[in-house]
Parts: sequence; structure tokens; C-alpha cells
Amino acid sequence: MEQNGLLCPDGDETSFKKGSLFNETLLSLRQNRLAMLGMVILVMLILVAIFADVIAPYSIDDQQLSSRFQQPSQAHLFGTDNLGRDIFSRIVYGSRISLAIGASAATISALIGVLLGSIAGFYGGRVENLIMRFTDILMAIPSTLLAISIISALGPGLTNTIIAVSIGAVPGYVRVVRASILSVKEQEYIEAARSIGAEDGRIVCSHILPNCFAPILVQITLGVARAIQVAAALSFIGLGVLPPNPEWGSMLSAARPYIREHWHMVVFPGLAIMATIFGLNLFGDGLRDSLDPRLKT
Amino acid sequence: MKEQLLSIRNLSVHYIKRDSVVRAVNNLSLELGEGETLGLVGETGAGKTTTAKSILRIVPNPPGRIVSGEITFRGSDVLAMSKLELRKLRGRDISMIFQDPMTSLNPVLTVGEQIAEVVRVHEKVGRQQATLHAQEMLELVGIPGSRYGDYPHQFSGGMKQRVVIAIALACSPKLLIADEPTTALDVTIQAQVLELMNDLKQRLGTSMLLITHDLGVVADACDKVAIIYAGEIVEYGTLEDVYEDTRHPYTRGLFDSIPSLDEDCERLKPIDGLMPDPAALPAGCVFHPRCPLCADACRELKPELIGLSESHWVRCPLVL
Repeated sequence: MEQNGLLCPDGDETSFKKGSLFNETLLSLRQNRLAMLGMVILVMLILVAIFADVIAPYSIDDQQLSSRFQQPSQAHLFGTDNLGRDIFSRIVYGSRISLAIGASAATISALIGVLLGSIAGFYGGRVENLIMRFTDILMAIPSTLLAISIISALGPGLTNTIIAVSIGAVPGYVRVVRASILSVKEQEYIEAARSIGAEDGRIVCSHILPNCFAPILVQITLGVARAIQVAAALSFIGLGVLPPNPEWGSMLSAARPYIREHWHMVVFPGLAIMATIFGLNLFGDGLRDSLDPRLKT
Repeated sequence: MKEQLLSIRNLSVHYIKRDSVVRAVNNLSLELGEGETLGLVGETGAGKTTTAKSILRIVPNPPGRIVSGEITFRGSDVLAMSKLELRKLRGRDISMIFQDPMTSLNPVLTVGEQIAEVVRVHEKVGRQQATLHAQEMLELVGIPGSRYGDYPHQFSGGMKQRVVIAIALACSPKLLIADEPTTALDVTIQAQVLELMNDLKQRLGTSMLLITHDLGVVADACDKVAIIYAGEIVEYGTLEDVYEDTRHPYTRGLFDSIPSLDEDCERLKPIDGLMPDPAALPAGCVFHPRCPLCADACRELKPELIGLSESHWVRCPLVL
């Protein structure tokens, strides 16, 4: 334990005396070029989503039937679709939907997962068995299939998409959280915390979970990417966010009949999905590399 | 006679494993008065830590189980306490210093937060007051209060143990259990930490149960000594009783194995053999396989603690 970077930052002691874990992570993240690329993509995406009104030249359902199927040009950066809507504007606005789904689904599933995982890991015994077997069952079902079944029960729409995507992601969190709690709870400082009279809730929240923060954070970053991907897939088969909302998956789906003549209708939404997930995954992997002391050389 | 603070009667703690029962503590009785310091001395695996953890009821269960006995702290039965009562007991009335300061502090919380936590758990004070109190505690153990916001890894081993002591004493407990507080430290730091503990103990009027395998530490700090072997007390008495009038062959063996500064000696004189496996204790006296005085009766009859005087007890009929 003593050698790893979490406990004793090597190098210049004075430069990062406060909040060493955070600073050190940032430092090693900065040296990782791919992770930085991921972060840049992510930040750009967030900025685009925030300033969508300023960036997009048209609104999402501005139809100009006279200018359908236009190739990319100065007037329409990414061209127009079968209803004469500006694809660039729709992709810009679509980033809001994708990020909203990704962020909220990851948050919801992380909350549920951390709660269940903590209970399972900390108390053990029958409760643990029950929770873990239940997650095993959930994991046995392919996540897309699970999302499809949930959404066909609940009906399509933004909220239901988020619910469906969240439920599918919960087992991953439960496992990660339980595993790290199991490894932390045997530490002597947990026993010490108990010996000062701290109650279970306090021990879990202020002693154990902060020590499990790294794997949970990584899981959340990668979870956002997965959520966006599954949501796009759902929209593609017409079960997710409903038109005319410019979800990237549903834009792809709408463009499918015209793929031979009008490549731009498919390529740009596809690129948007790809770039987003690529960026998030790069960032998540980089984060894991810098947070996990075992991967450090 | 000083007022009784802690009394342990016939305590037995077993670790129940799938195919064996480890008898860590057997029929152990202890008494500790207000303001006294008792040294609990024994080899690794003799059941010292288990005894200490039983007092706080933090023996890990499963596999550990307090099979029988009675622990009374200031008149109330610790073994019958509810979870809530136990939480109030731990940290406020009885607190514990763990063996290894490297692992008994949480690496992701600042030391100040960890001291303030005890205060906030037990006293109805706001964040600010707790912070203030934590800083006072730091100063008390000789660390500048300005290091409140530092993390454990920024401290050296001795400093960490000081922090642990500060945590243990933050609520002015009646009883301090120190589980080998100096084992993980080097000798000069050991002396400092011991001195600090003695000093604070006297100032705050705390009683102490000092667990150690270092007889020198005991001589420095304790009023009474209990020598524990394979979960049983083999000799028990005041410091003078045990050090000046050593009776039990095991205690003698312990003293003999300490090299003397005055004599030249080629080899150390250890006690032959090893501690018995606590999952398969020998019949009769637990020490008989290693005992130089072993007689036939020792192999079959379990000796009782015999009083030599008001304060001196020994578990061996052959040395009376």
C-alpha cells in the first residue's frame, strides 16, 4: 500500500500538498494524450449542448421543402434531409438529448448501484446473496434486449428511454461497488472507525465509499458512453426518443432509405455518435489509468 | 482500594471455523481500577488483541464469538448492551489505539477530520467547534494545529501514532485500550510515544489497558501486569510482584530470554518450542509441553490461578 500513488505522491512534495489525489490524477491525466483528446471532445460537446441556440443556424423542425436532400454547402454545413431540415442544426440540438440521456441515466444507475452494492458488500450474508443473484439475473439478459423489453412495457419517450437505459446499467455498478467495498471494509481503519462508535451509515458513507471513489468514477464515465449508445440504438429502432426530436439514432434511422443517394444524411449523425462515445471512452480509460495505482509504472 | 472500572470474568472467545474451533481466549479474568494501568503481556497469538476487542465488542463475527464470560464496565454489562449503547460506549467511554498507525488511519480523510469525527459522533457540537477541538487535540499530542488539513500519508509513523492517540483521547475516555501502540515504531519514537501516553493518561485521569509483548514497555508504564499464554492468564500481579518475584515458569522464560546489558552472551536463551495451536490446545496445563518443571500431573490436571498474596496470582502449583 505504501508504494502506491494514492497514499504517497512521489516527486515534488510541496507542489501538491493539498488534495493530492485529485492533483496527481490531473497531472497524470494531462500526460496522457489520448485522454486529453477525449476530454477536449467531451468539453466541446458540452459547450455545443449549452450554446446550441447560438450555434445552430436553424431550428430543429425548420422545414424547407424546396431545398430537400441538399449536399453539404455553405448554407447547410452538413446538408439537408428529406424534409429540408438543416442536419447541422439538428445534430447540434441532438447533443442536448444525448448528453441529457447519458448524464441522467448514468447518475440514476450509479445511485441505485452504489446503494445496492454498498448494502451487499457491507452487510454480506443473505442480503448480499439476494442482491447479487438478482444482478446476475439482470446481467444474463443482453442489455439492449433488456432495454427493448422495458421500453415496450413503458412506451417510448425521453423519460422512459432514460429509465430503460438506467436499469440495464445498474448491475455493473453493483458489482464494482461491492467488490471495492469488500476490499476496503477489512482495513484496520474501518475497525478503528467502528471502535470510536461510528454507526454503519457513517462508516459506509464517510470511510468506505471515498476509498472506492476511483473505480466508481471510471464506471460512471464509461457508463455515460454506454447509455448514449444504447439510447441511440433504441431510437434507431423507433423505441427511444420520438421524432421530431433530433436524437442522433433516430436521425440515422430516418436517413436509412436514402443511404444510396444521400450519404451525408447518414454520415454526420453517425459521426456525431461515434465521436461522442469515442471521446467518453478515451477519457474513461485515461481516468482509469491514472486512478488505478496498479496500472502505474 | 481504588474504584473498579473494568472487570472481566471468565471470558472465553472462540473463532469458529468450518473444521475447527480456535480457542483464542479461555476463562480469562481481569480487573482494572480507576486511573490504573494494566499491562497485558504475551506472545503473538496469545489472545491479547482478541481480549481487547471483546471489551469493545468488535471481535469480527463471524467467525469470532464470545462464548462465555462477563465484562462489566462501570457497573454495566458490556455483553448485554444494545447496539446503540455500544456505540455510545465506544470512543466516548472506552477507546482503542490500534497496533499499526500506518493502516489505522483512513487515507482519504484529513487527520483533522478524523479527530473531529469522534467529537461529532459523541458530543452535540457543530462543525466549527469540532474543528477547534480537533486542533486542540493535535496540539496536545505535539503536532501543530495548522496541520489539521493534512492527509495521513503526509505524516511519519510516529506522527501518525500521535494522531491516533489524539483520536482516542478526543472525548476524554475513562479507559484507553492501547493495542501494541509502539510495535510498529522504531525505538526512539517508541520512547516518545510512551512518554506522551503516560503524560496524557495522568493529566486526563484515564485508565489504560496496555497490550504489548515488550516487558520493558510494561516496566515503564504499568501498575499491574497480566502475563497471558494461549488465551489464559498465567501470572497476574502488581509490577513489583511480577518483576521482582517472578513465579510462573513461562514468565521466567520470558525474562530469561531478554539479553542482559551487563553480561556477555553468545546466544539468546529462548523458551524451547512454540505456542500451541489454539485450535488444538494440549490437555492439562497449556504450558506443559514447553515447561522445564513439567511433572506428570501437569499433563492431565488443569491448574487454577492460585493466590500467593493479596495481589499476586499464578497458574502453577509447582512454584508456590
